[in-house]
Amino acid sequence: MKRQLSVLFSLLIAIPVLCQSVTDTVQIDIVPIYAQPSFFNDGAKRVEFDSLTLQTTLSSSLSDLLSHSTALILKNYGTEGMSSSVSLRGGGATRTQISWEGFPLNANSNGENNISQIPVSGFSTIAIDHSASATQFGNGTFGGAIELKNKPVWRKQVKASCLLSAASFDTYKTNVGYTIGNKNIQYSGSIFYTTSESDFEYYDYVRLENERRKNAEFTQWGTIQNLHIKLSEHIFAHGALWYQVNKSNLPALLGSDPNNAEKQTDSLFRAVASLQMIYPKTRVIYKTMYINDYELYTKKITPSAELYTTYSEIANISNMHSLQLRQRLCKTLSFSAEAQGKIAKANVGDYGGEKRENSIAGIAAIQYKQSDFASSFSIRKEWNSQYIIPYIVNIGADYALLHKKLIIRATAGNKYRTPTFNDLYWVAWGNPDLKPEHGFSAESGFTYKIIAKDSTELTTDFTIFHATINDMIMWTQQGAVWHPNNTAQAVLQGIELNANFNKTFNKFTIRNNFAINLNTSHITKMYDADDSDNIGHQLYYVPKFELAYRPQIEIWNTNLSLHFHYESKRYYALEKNLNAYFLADLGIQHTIHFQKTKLVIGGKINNITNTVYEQIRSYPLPKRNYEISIQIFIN
Amino acid sequence: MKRNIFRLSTLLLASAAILTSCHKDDENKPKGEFSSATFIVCEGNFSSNDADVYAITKDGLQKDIFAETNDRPLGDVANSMKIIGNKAYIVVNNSQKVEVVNANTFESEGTIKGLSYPRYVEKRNDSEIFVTNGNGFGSDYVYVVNNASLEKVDSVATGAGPNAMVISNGKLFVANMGGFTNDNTITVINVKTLAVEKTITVGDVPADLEVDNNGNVLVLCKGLSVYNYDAAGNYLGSEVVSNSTLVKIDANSLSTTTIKDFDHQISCYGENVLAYNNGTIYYLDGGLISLSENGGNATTVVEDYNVYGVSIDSQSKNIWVLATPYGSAHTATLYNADGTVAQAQTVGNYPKMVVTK
Repeated sequence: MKRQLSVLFSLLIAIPVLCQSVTDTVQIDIVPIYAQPSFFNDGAKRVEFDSLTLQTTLSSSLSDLLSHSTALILKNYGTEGMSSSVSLRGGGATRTQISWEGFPLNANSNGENNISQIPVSGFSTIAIDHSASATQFGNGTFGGAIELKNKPVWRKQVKASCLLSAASFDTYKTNVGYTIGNKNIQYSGSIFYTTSESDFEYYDYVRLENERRKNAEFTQWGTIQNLHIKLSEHIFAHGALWYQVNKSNLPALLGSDPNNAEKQTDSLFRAVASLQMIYPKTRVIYKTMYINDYELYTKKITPSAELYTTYSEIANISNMHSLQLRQRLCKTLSFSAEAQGKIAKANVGDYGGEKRENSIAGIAAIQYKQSDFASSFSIRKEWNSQYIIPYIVNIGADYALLHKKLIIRATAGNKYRTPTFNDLYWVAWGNPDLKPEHGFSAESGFTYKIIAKDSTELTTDFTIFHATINDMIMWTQQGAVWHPNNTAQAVLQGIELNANFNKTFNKFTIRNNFAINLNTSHITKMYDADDSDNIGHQLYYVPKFELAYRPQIEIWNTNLSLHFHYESKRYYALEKNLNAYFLADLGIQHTIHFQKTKLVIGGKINNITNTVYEQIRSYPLPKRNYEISIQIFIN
Repeated sequence: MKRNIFRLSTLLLASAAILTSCHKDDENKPKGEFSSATFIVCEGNFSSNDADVYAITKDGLQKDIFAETNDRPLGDVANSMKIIGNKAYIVVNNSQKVEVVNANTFESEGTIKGLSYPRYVEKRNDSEIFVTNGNGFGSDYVYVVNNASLEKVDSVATGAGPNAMVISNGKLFVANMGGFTNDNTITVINVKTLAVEKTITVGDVPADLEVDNNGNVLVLCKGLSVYNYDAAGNYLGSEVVSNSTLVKIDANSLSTTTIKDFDHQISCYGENVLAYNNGTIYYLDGGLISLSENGGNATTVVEDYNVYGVSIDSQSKNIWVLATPYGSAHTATLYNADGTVAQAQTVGNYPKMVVTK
């Protein structure tokens, strides 16, 4: 019995590089958890990857994690080092906020975040807030938000882990993680390094040639460090540093001369600090973050040419502050007030000088909560140096029924997105007269969970959502020149269905995760009558139908998993589309225990069926490829 | 018996008449959707895979006819198109290929590959074509390609960046425009033997060639400017090294005569800058300019600082002018000789040339 339990416990934390499986009834393997919403965000769908799950995905970037464990819309431009972005509910990367410790990381210049540069190993919690309220998250959340956080576990511990991974296309990864601490201080860190030739083969259907990608080498190294200190019973301090360098050679587009000479170097520096005072009825939190992300992009006519045709430096600098007070007024009622401030700067040669935008926001929220019902209302007012932002409100509620097996939720609120600096200031092409996008979003759904006596567990989550975006900013072609304008009104709408079915037998456990998304996001109005052809057209790069299925089996310290993914066709221009595609991945992992040390040996085969596909037009993605890894966990 | 023979003869004659008349009708009947089309070749944006060929037919303007017909994109930067017999050869420069299609249906009949920087196509004989290839950093050749196999069978080294070419008096004249470097020569190649007969120095950046009524070769050289950058790629300024010049090469003696020495560089970003029709030279310089082949004063036919290419309509002998105005749609306009507009079309990005049958 004890032996079986220890085996079971080992399986809990024996997570393969690609797909994990945790037999614990609380944590689920790289299947995300449909978690209760965060404070004052009632009614929203929130999906969380917990610390144990993330611990074992040491080789993964956020792009890898989302690709292999969700049915989210991703846009990958290639393999290691190439840009990757997530488009929650089809809103696009600029309407999906990526936040770290509560502050947005989206670049001031283009409003996006390259999630292939976000190492999963640096965080203890990653959460997807599908209806991220604008009152809490602020600018650019029509699609939602993804939160990156590090939470301490206040106990005496000394842990370490090391990952070594080798994969196709001369890809090598290593990651060292460590945590040391006691009940008053916790220090954790992650040091990571990746290098890849990224020289995969692909079929160029324009040049009608089988090609191997050239000039696609990539190197990344960096570290994320966290220090948590309990200064007293009620006062907690946290500081974190994130430094990372990415160097990429950018390969040519499919269809173009493959002898390309483009390079990009990114140097990211981010620091955050917070001080929390937590009392039984009162919580005061002060946080501050500094971001300095630098990018250098160069291009030559040929690799051997001496002169550059393009030499572009981009610096995104942000300084943000937040002071929040939460007060429990009585057993069921809580109040929150928050002040946020942000100085956003970008220094880009093509702007003709540094540009800056300042903002201050005040937020007030109230929550009513009982054992089976929670509801919150929040309001935000922002004063922005460039725009007039209207009052933003949000309301939401969760109601638990059937002994909390069924949770019904709903939320609605208005939202906004300010133009990016590229939209406004790009020389000769930018439009300084742009207005912010504005609109509202609403969603409703339920989560139903059953845990039967025979260790059968079934969780079903259903969501229906709708958002309207007015004055949508779109870059449209006028001759050979592109200009952004407040061109259209669009809706984001669809249905999301997720189901997990897990059952433990005598000696083995099976898990099934199923996700299906139907998305009919489209243009509803064009403000210029000449562009009426776009009305009713599906938004670009938003598939109408997306399906993911992941069965797993765990037996004898071994986890075997498959991942099937289907995306329907996606438009990249009016009535021009990329073909639908189907992918299948296989992962296997075996765990060996030596007293306090655990050795996890894993392997995976991605794209078993050798599918030829693109997620972005003219950017080929690799056919069948492989990875093996060894992970050592101490304590 | 005699009656039967008469009836049979009558029947045979009638059958012959019917069959003959049907055959004549078939010969006159148009074959393919584009059998009498006017084609507009659009380069597209560099590194965007949006090269395009438009067609003006009796049904109006049709776009993207290659992709629509063959269900695959044309590629990146369509530099030129040449109709030889029943085939059209579309040179897609940055996709390093030449697409061969049926000139009437635009259905693909093959692809010439194994090129690095193709520019133009010219007919060598009934079974072979010439393809210019090279950007000045190597592989600067005229390739001989077999029409049937679409494979390279021979090559002739040229100057830097071989570009436009014409045939006259059994010789192939290749303008070495320089590619990404500089050149100022014309390579003269014997069409039959492929021997290089002469390398003629003309003006800097020989962009375009035409053949006049006497078989002489006209060359418009754009002139050379040098653009200076520092080590970090910051633009420091430019300086004019030479102005434009219009030169005539005698196809027999290969001697040169200057028709016009410009006091400036012609104002046109494109390279399809020269056309010729029955004694009149047309070139682009801030608009469409006409000049007698015997020299004399130039006349501005149309003023337009957005001009990008010029082609003669082989049917009407009017002049097509392609324009790329900044910030608005690019156009192809057919002008009468007096500068009035015969028709105007909005087309794809960077229309390079108009090809008519």
